[in-house]
Amino acid sequence: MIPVRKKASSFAILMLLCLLAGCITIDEVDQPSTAQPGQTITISVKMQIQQTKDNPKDRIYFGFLAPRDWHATANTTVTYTSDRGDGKMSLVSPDTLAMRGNTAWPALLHGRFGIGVNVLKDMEWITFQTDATFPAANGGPIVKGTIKVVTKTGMRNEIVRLGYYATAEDVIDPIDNPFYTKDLHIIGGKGQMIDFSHPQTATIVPIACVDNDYLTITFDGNARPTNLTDASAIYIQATAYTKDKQAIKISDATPATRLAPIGNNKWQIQIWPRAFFQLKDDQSLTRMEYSFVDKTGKKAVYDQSGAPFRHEFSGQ
Amino acid sequence: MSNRNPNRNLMAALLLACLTGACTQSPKQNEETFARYAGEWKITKAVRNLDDITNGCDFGRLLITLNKDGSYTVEKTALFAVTRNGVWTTKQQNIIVLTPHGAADKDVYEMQANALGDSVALIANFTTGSDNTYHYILKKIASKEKAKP
Repeated sequence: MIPVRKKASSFAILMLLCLLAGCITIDEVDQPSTAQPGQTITISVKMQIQQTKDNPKDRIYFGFLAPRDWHATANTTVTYTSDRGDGKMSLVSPDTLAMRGNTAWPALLHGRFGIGVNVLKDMEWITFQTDATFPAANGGPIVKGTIKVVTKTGMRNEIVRLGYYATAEDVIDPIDNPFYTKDLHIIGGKGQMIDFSHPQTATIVPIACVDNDYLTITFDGNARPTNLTDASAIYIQATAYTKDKQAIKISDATPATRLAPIGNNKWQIQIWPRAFFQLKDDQSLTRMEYSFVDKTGKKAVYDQSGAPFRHEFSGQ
Repeated sequence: MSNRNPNRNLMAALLLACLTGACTQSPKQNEETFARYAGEWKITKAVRNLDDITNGCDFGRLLITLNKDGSYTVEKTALFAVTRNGVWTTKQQNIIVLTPHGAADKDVYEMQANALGDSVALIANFTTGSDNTYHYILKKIASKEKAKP
């Protein structure tokens, strides 16, 4: 059992906010610790609702944070059981605005909670709401319930910490209550391991992309000691491979290959591969290999095996 | 050197506008609408999958020019929904319709115009062959900006 995190210092604020909105606390999440790519998994989210106001029209809103490549909006069903009855939850359309905000639900949760305890920004929050109203009566007993999530993992090998959020209001409770689980390992598939939850020297998002996307490439100098740890400027060297088996190499230290510091010894560059590698109209990329270097090109950082980092482009 | 009628593109664009239902506007309103949007546009904000990527990208340059004669030219300075030049028109006063030369119906692309303070912003939403989504806000390049070296 995973106990819910509570912050003693914010207890008074929490209680005050509970007077303004119906509070839901996620107590525990049961989910597998391993799964295979494309496997359907079942997750139980145990929660309790404090009834702190009268509202006959309340519904329960439930947010689920998963990697984008799971396509969770299409592959997830949600039901619940509770002291107050059982029922279904339906996906809230990504365009639906939260009642007291001018923002659609996915942007609202993304803006407030981001990717939670994960580090790889290629995840999405999707939101469900109870089909039936869930009336609240001020001072009523605490309602206990369990939300059951049935979803399908993505097709890649991954390590990720899924996130869960619940509220009894058509707006984000002003309470920082998302619950993030321990690592879920998706193993047994093809391709390299995509680690959403641990710092890595090199990351690329979006993971699923084509050469006609913007790629955000990040160098994290804190992930492990490297010979660029104290560098004042970092550049990317990259070789792209086309479908017709040509290799296009970019190795000069220029403004176009220079990473910008983003703080905390992290560096970043955005590239549009079609322009970066100066592809002709009839060329498309299958993969890219890359490393990080200083201005002279003499100090280089590769992956831990000593090979260039590698990124596969999705089929086009 | 060809000597095309300079109004040919405008006439074609207006005809297209009529065919797509924009003829509820008077010719004068159409002219005013064209005048409002004609000009050079650049990206001022870019969001990919809800993440703001504006700062990391070189978006300071011209992206698209909507010419007063109803033609448009797109520069390959940034990833964009439309890569070929063509003709543009408006519908419902605040929708900019781009029709690339030789385009099939499915290639016609629409941007929405929104008031942004005293000026107008164009909103472009698109994907580019993956399931990644892009949301751009474009602003017209002011004359004094053009004058800068």
